[in-house]
Amino acid sequence: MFLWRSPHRWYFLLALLVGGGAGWLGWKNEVRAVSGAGAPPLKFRSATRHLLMDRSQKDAFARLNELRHRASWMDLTTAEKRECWEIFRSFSEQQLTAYLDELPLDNGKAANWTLACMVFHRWAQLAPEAAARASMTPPYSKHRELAFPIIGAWFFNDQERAAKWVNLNGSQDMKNAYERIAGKAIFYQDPEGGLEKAEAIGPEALRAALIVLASKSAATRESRSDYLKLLAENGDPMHWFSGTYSLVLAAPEEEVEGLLDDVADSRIPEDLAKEYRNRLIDRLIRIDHERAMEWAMSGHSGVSDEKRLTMFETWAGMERWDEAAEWAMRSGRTDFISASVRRQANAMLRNGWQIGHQPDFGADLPARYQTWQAQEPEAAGAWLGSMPLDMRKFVKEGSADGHAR
Amino acid sequence: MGTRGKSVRTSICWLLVIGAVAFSSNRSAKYLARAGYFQSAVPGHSKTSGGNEVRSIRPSTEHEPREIEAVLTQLLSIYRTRNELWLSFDAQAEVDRIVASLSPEELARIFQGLDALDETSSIDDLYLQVGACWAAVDPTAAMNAALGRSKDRGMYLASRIFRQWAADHPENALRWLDAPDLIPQFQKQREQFRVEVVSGLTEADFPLAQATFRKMSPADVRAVWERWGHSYVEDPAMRERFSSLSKESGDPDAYAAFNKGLMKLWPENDPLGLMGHLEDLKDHLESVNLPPEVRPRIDAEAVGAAILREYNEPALEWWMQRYSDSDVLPPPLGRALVTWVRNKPEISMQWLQDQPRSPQRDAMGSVIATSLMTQQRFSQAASILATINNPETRTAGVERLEILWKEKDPGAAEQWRKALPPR
Repeated sequence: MFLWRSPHRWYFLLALLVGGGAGWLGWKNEVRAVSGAGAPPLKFRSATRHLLMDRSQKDAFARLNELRHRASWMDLTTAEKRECWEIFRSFSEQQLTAYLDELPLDNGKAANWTLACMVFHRWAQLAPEAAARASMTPPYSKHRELAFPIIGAWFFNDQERAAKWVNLNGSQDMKNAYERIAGKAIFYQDPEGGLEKAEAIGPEALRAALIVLASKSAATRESRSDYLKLLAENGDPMHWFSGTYSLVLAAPEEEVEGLLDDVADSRIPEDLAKEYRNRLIDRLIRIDHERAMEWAMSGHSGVSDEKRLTMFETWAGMERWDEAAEWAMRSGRTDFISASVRRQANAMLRNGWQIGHQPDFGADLPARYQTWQAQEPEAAGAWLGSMPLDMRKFVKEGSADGHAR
Repeated sequence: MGTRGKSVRTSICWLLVIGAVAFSSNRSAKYLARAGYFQSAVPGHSKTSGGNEVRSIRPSTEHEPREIEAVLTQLLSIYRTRNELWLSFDAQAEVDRIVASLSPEELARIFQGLDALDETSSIDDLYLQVGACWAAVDPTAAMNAALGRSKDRGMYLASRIFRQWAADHPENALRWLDAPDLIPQFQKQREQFRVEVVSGLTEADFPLAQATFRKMSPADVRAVWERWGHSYVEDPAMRERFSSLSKESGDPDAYAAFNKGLMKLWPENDPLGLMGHLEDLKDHLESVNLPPEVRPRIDAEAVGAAILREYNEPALEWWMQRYSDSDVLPPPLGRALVTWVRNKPEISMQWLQDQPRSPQRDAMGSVIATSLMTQQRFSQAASILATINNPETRTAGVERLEILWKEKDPGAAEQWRKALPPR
């Protein structure tokens, strides 16, 4: 009553209204931002646009939003992606950009990102220059990977114009995306001269072409040798790295041992050969542990004893202790068994292992110790005596016979 | 002039006041919204969700026999001309259309055909897409084929195919995992895959998730709830909804794990929500009826989570009031202490030094000293070990410290060892 009589009543009322309105807006926008996959703040433009939309467009937007909100923190499923793409294919350029406004890209939700890629891809099919320009200006310019869906559409629609435009106006990200897509595609279009054409486009294009060539060169010793020679001649460490990686990955399983012989190829520079060899070893040890070990143990492999022990531990670490230990005993390398017990226990102590607190951490140490103890009871016992009380207890209680000293 | 000047001044003042009111009301409403105030526990987008059904890609039952070679060539030409398949949505749809018209036998032959190419490793995208379509009609055959492709990469490919298939057909995928004659490689990781599929079910099919819980180990059910905690920590409505669901589930570990997931990732910009949640958590722990053998683990999980959100003082005080006479430190709290010591070594040491001696303090002291050793804070670890009453715990710590300290600084270690009373 007092307020109503006050000469300031209109001001009070205005403060109440404005304060309430601002509060409501703040609340509403935050709820929008944090619910499901999120939504950008309400804006006059977006609100009026919604009012002016026709029924079918409203439904399309609602369906897209429903799918991404339901996905929340996950990505859309394959079937959902197909459905969304069908919807975007029916959109005009205007509708695409309108929907883009509804996608918050900064909250790290996978579904939003997938939809944004689709929108830019479709936009680039309809109006590539506009899409490319939009992706290079805020707020999209910080999402550098958007260059890929754009070039992915543009390059296949109009290779020449895309090349020209990207060269003249493209950001570095756009140029890189162009090179990566073009390098691979050009190599497929022309396997004979593709490598040279890719090189003419740029280093990223050459790298992409070399990766495809690697997978085509992995099958035989001659083709691999030619490929490695090509890489060595090129001399760029970046190409060596990605090229050999792809070659090792593409090599047929039964060929891996033959691959190891490639390393002896005198045409490969020695410093590069070592890196290549280590990568092969990492693959072979997972395919055929025993053959890999045998090869590494042979004199001509050039593998150091330290690396051999690491290989042995990789093998044992794949829940295959018994198998690895049996091999070590057969090959007269019981020192690998004791070394791996010591190394494992040391790592546990150094990394704060506590009895019963991390059940998986060093779980097979008692079994490893038992193998060692059966081989060299005195040395094993002496080592165990030097361990702290809790470690002794863990090793003893964990071993089945319980007689460890 | 005087009156007019005054009224202008008054108006300006009022405008400023209104602006300030608007600003602060907007800001505080934002915090309230983030903390979940005035929101219904049913998220808006779920209310309207009419059909959960998404058109699924299933090979049709009617198809004409055709030349497998021709189909393979067609697929490869799509792939080679539009090589970055992951970002060519038209090409993906085109591959789907072709594949959807094939019979399981034809799919098997296509898959083999892709395998035989010398460029297999660079066409993973195509391989996976065809594989997932095949899995929809004959999962065992598809997974076996992927596994057979390579000893070292086979499981990787098979799991990707499985995930892609399971995302659209969770019920079938779970049923497939249940089969007693499941492929051996999948048997080994059956639990892990179940956790993955069920974690993704929240909004799509929560009843199916609940039904599957009955087949899962308690540890796996906990893993799912913890993931949901991670996932919904920033979404107040879902947070509230899953909080209630976990409390109502009848499994005390469900809420404990959900809470752990929440607390780990609770956003810094929502202090109001976090405080409210901690109050709620305390009330829940004090009121809920738990079997005595379960109680310490549930309490430890909550206290451990609170420590990591710098709510250490009240949480630990609460814990010590209840458990100081116990010499058992449940692993969840032990792990939280390790992280706490790593992040705040001085504060955590001081807290321990201030505690009256008790069996629980001994157990915590051992964990804190061990954690200090991993940071090579040897003399600080030594001073904590000196205050441990339990002889066995102290000896284990001293022996460990001796080994680690000697490695780094034999002189200092020797000096410390000499000053200790004889064993």
